[in-house]
Amino acid sequence: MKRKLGVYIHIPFCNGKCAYCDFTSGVYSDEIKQAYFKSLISEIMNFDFSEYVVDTVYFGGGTPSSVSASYITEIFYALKAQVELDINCEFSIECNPESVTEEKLYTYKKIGINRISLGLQTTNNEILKSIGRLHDLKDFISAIDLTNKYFDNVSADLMLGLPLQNASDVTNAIKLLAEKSVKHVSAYGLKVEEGTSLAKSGFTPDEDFTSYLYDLTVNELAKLGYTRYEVSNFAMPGYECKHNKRYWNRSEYVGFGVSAHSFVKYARIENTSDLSEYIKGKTVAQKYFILSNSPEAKVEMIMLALRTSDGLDLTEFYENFGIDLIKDKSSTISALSDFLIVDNTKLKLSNKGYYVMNEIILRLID
Amino acid sequence: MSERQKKIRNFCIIAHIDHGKSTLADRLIEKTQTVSSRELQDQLLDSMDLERERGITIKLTPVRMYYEYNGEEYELNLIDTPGHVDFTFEVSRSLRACEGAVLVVDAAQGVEAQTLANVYLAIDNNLEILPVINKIDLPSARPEEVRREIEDVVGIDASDSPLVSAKEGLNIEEILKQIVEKVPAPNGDENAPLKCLIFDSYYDNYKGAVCLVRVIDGEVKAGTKIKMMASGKTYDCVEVGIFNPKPTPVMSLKAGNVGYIAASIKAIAETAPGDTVTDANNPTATACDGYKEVQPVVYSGVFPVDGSKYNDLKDALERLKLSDAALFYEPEVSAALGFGFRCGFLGLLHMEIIQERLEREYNLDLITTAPSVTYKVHKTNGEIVTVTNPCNLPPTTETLYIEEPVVAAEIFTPPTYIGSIMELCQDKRGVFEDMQYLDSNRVKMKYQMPLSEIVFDFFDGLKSRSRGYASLDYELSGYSKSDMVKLDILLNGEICDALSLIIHREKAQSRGRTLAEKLKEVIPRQLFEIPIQAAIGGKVIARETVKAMRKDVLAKCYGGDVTRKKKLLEKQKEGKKRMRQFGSVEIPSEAFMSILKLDDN
Repeated sequence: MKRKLGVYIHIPFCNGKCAYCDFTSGVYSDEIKQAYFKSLISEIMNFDFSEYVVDTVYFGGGTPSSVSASYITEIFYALKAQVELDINCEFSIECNPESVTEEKLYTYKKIGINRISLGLQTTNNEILKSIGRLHDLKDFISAIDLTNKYFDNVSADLMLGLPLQNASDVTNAIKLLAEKSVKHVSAYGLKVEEGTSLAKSGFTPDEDFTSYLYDLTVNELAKLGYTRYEVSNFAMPGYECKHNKRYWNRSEYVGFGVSAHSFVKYARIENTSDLSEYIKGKTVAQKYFILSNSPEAKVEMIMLALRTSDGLDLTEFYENFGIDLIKDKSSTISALSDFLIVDNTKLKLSNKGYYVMNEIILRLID
Repeated sequence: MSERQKKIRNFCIIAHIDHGKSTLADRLIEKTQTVSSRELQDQLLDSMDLERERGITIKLTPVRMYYEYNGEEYELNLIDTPGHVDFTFEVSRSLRACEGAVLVVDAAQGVEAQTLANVYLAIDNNLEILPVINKIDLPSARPEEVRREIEDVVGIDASDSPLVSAKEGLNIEEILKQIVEKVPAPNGDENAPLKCLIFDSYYDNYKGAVCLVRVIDGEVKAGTKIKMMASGKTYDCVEVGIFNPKPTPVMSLKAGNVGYIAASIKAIAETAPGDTVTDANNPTATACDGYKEVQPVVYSGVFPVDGSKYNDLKDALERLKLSDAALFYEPEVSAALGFGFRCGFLGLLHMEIIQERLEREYNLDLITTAPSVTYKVHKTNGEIVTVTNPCNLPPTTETLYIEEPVVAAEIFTPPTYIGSIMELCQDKRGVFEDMQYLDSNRVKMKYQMPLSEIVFDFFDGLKSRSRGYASLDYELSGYSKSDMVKLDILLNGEICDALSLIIHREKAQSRGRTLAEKLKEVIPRQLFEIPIQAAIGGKVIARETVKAMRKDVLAKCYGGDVTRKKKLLEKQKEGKKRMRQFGSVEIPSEAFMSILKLDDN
């Protein structure tokens, strides 16, 4: 039987660069876009899909909606020519409010895309402007209304800890999302990455205030029926992002495009993050194997599974590594009772634990 | 005195730290063609990298030069001296090996405090002082004024002092002439039983500990069975030699000569400077006087940042000790810092040098605790204990009173800064003694001051208040009764031993507050809240809290980039290596260092 595979496709193009973004993305000419898509298609064509059936596809960026929908269509057909798509395939694309048009949405729908992820970040226009976003609240409202016309499964991104952001900004945004019956919300704490214009501005989010906003978000979303199924993802029942879950449960996925990441056949592969190199045909920058019962696999499993509300499956862990984690780390786990929950055969982070996730993980993998 | 002795001159050079001693020494060597100028590396005598970099001399290196005067060849032995107050004892040793001293004074800056102490030391040792005015090539040179200053301040005749420029090689010959003319030849009887003064020693990987000696009486050569008079140990002399400036074996060293003795001696500790070497089969009746054991003045705990490097630190200290007999160390265990050493130093510079050598030459990352002086604790049972580590201070219930070391400090400054320096000295519990105008733009201020105050941040304060113009010289003057208390820092309710201090009661309150505040800044937030308390005798006087952290609300996991997450974790894990686990609290090693420099204000 064929194994399930997720496909990630990276579109590194945007109409502008946001102040906090340190990802491989930017504003480029049409010639570069053309050349890029050519390389992207050939990378897809060269991948051996023979053992797989694809059940999630995710167009991420950058801003996939910033490029002409015909590129997305082309990619889709290239992929379809290579591999069988599962009948229930989750097919997502990231869009920014200012670049979503009815024409694009119509095309997305036609080729089978069934999930739209909109980058809202905040409803406060002043903040949107200061972090270099190209849309305002009005743009978002028209984008979401259009999207709702064609799609049921819509997600929105929020950022917490932005400059000038206060509690009512956060509650207003959540209220709006619920009104517009958004099914899925990703809420990210702002992280100031080196080299970004935000870092250069000297801004650092206040740790306590950001986590206060985060608590607020968790509570407000819960009231409205959104369940936190991963540290920064919330969904109405049945609307969890299947593609994202692959990352946390260590299922296989292949990433195409500049700086895309794959985890296939025990190999973690990182593509080059140099756009011009990628266009010239270089793809893989780094590749290493993680055998299923290796110490590194153990670290990954703990680190990734604890991000989810399902938590770490202790039975699966024991089967893989021959370690009874609860026994092995009994003193650590009891010292961390505020942060860790042992629930039958699962080890989970408490709400408080999510805020100090790395510290907890370090103690468990030590 | 033999004809041979009449043609020997033993001298040293005394100079303020930047008045050009090393350059002058280089010129003398060059002029007498002891080495060709091609071979001449700048500042030949300063052989340690650290010395060359900082422009200071720590180890003593004697050089033999030959100089022709009135058609006769003279042997001139230059015995180098360290310029810093920490090394006064080393200076006094090398002075005893000489009959004369060249006093180098900067033609622009005039006589400096540090120099004076050594000049008086030389005068006390009956040395003939030859003042030389250097740097006359500088536009700001004022040689005539400086000549007067030497006469007024030092009280010696400077009327025919050579005006030289070591840098330009001006008038160097005149110095050599005066050395021959004015410095007395060494007396001593070359036929008497052997008597040599060890004025320094160094460690050679092949020859073992090598003694630098001045032969007072008699003769020593390879094969002589020698005996160290202080330790009573005997050795077979393997080689004797001189420095020109590289060590060069000679047939023998006789009365008046300066050179080295190698006798396969295992450790530098067996060649104690100040000790007397004699012939084991024909010993001299009396040893050279003035031998004393070096006593450390400042103590500090030294710990490896990475606890697993304890043995590396131990090896490094053992090896440093081979070449630095003044270094003292013993194992110390701290609840916070683990295994390390309590080290004793001659002073702050010596401490800094040792720490720097450990880090540089032995590639160690160190945590050092606040320097402590030696307290004398008079206990109720009549016992007097010496305390160099705050953790060993007896409980107050058993203590009658405590005495702390006091120094006589001399501060030299332009008059503009008198006010703010007085303020500083007062703040540092200094007792004003005297003030004297050396000339219209230099003042000498005398204070009695607790050494512990000088050890804590005094230099920096002095420099910043005088824009770097003021200088300090001090020597221990005794002990005085003082109201000292132990200030403890509690982290999460437990006393962190490595942060304890002995401090004057009046200062404890504010220091405690500053310490707690500073620690709050440098201890990162952790899983649990950490109370930081400062306490005197169990009574909490200040409290701060490091809040529990809440920071891992993570950003997006971009397109399944698990590697990025793993790297982040690894970085965080790596960071923990620089942390010290104290109970449930993780303390960054920087925290221990950052409290060494605190502004009380």
